[in-house]
Amino acid sequence: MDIDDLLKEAQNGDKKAESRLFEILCLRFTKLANYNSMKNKQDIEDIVQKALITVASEYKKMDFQTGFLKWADRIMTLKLWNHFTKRRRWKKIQIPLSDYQHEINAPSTDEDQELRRMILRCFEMVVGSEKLYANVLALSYEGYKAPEISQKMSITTNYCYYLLSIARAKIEECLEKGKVE
Amino acid sequence: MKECNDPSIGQLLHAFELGVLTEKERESFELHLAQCEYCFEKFMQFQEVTLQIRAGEEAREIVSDMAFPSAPSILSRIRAWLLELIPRLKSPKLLLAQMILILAIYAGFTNWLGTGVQQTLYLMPERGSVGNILMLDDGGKAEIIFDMSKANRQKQYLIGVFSPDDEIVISNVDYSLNTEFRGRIIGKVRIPVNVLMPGNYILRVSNENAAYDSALYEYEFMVK
Ligand SMILES: [Zn+2]
Repeated sequence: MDIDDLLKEAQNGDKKAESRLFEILCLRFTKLANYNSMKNKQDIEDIVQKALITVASEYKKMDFQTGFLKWADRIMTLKLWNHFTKRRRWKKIQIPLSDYQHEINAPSTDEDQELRRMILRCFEMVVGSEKLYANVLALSYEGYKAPEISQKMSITTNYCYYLLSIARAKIEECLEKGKVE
Repeated sequence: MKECNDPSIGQLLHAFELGVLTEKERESFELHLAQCEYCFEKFMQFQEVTLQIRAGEEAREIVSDMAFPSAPSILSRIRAWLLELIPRLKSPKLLLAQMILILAIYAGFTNWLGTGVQQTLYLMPERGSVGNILMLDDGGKAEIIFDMSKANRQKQYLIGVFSPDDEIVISNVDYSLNTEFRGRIIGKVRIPVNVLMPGNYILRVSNENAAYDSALYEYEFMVK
């Protein structure tokens, strides 16, 4: 039985199909954690469990146009991201399981260096031209969340989000064109 | 997919990347990312940038350099707002007292001035309570550490730095009265040096509800 049939049956309430589906996901998520060089067994279990809970609470409501596994992989990927960015365990996440093959080939060190320099240049330009963005970032480094940041800056939270999306677009634009307009 | 399937949620992407969403928002944004081809692709492509911004020392330095000069503009905004709000308060000293109160509320906002301290000035009674801050070409920040032995740890204080004409320069107060310096309670103020002009300044500490003139402490220092 392929995964889509299993999914359909599980979505229709077949308990056996559901437990088989989650067994498959559990293995798949663990592999994904291993692929991202996670070593601590307890951490892996925690994250896999978090991802499985999210999948379990959402999968019945969903109509998977882009594919169930792809969606599930993303859920797990985002849980990994959350783990890696918490408490300074910074790390880039990789997705080897689905069709994101291009992520696997890490750039060579030289390219890496050049990219890093370019990112910093663009970042500096945007931070320099958007003082409020600099302030939001400074407060985010202090551990504040958007509602507190907005309050401290006397702006609305929506405006804070808007600011951030504009700044991000400018960084992207700079990385593409090499300058900010 | 060329577009986000829900731009009102999609615009939270950078907030998600920077980790500033609340726990609840983050969880629901994760669900959006998992379903939105466009946003997920953008998120994956931007990871290197995100990590640099969040974890890179250089990025943090850039931010601390760029962020602090805007503090005076916030101050002038508060000042303008106050002038508009209380036009009847003609006495500059009363007005100033109001401003300090508001500045104290805003103290948290300026806490991020804390990085990049280049000179430290100790204002302690045994040193005569006077000192100097040097104007350095490359700016940076000066940290003033002053004795607050008379202070009560449970209370809040208003702390302001004044130029001779009683104009507030900046108030960036670290209320960490638990911090001890050689066994006594101290207060800390950090100032970006480039907002100062050469001259004499007064650092004034008063009780939250006290009148402007009844300062608990007054320290003098000179900027050269
Ligand atoms: Zn989207």
